[in-house]
Amino acid sequence: MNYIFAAMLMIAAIWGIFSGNGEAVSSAMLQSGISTAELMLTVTGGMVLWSGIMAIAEKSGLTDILAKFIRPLLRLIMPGLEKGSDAEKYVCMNISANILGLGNAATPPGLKAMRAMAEQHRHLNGRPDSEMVTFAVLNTASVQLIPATVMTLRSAAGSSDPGGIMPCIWITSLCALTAGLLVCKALHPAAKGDCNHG
Amino acid sequence: MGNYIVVLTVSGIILFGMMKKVKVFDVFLEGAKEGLHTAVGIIPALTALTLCVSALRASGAVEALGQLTAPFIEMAHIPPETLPLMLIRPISGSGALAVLQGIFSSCGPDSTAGNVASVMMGSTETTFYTITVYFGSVGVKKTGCTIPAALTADLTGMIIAALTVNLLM
Repeated sequence: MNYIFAAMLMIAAIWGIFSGNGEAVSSAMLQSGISTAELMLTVTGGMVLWSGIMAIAEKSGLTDILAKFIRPLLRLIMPGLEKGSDAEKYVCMNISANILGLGNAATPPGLKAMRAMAEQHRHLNGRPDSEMVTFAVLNTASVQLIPATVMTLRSAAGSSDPGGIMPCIWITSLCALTAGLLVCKALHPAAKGDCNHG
Repeated sequence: MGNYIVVLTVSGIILFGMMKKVKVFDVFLEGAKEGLHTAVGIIPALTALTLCVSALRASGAVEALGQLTAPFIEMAHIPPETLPLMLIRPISGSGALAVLQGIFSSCGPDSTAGNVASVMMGSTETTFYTITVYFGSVGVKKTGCTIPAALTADLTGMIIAALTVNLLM
């Protein structure tokens, strides 16, 4: 991240000066603090609101109910996961929290799931097995029902229908997830083999 | 349609909480406090990345990159304004937020670019960060085919985002 940060600023500075936009870059830099403050207020407001709502969903057991529906699907994509194991329990909790948009609530069970899976596969010696890879891909694909931050930003920008993009988001994230899982399986000829040729 | 989903979700969650005898107001406050912590936590990164993003936009480099790749992304009917978002999304969540905000203020949230950018943002994750956190926590250094698979998912998401917006919106 350090290199990316430095590179972006360097490119902006050099490009700006050589293309005659140096002045514009200077004023953009000065303005950026102000636009951050505006962005921050919007994002903070949305996060506070939805974290509150989703805390109720979690406390009332909605996440556990969702986890029950997820379990059979999980058999399909992570067949190596032992039935009734701790790993399976944590994976379900992680996925249902993700679906409800509880990003923060999803991480602790997600990390526990990883640890449980790593303990089952000590022999792999620092290499992930196919279940761990699948699980990581699941978490990078962001399947969620309520894209709260996006909707908050849209509504702050004056959108006439902030939530109208939700169906598109559901379809898109499912397609993206499917593509990711297919690549996982394709690069993994043996269902139980380890992934060391990537 | 989307706006009804919000009403139904919020009221449904609160009603379900009441049925399960959850102290809904107290729990809301607890959760909201946690949300505030997270939001405050991303402020430094958000400031740094907004600086980069606005400087890059003003310098004209983003435009030049857009012109360079225009033939490719036009084939997929992806609005060229969303190119910076596609590039930064897997690397930095705060950077992506800054880019998304920029697209909203220059094109409007209900424009095609605004809609496609919203779908891209909502259907993908900060891939590299997530992989680092999850594998880092168990000391796995070789991530094998995780990154190719996750990036394929991201790329698919970007293309399908443009497709769904063109078909459904």
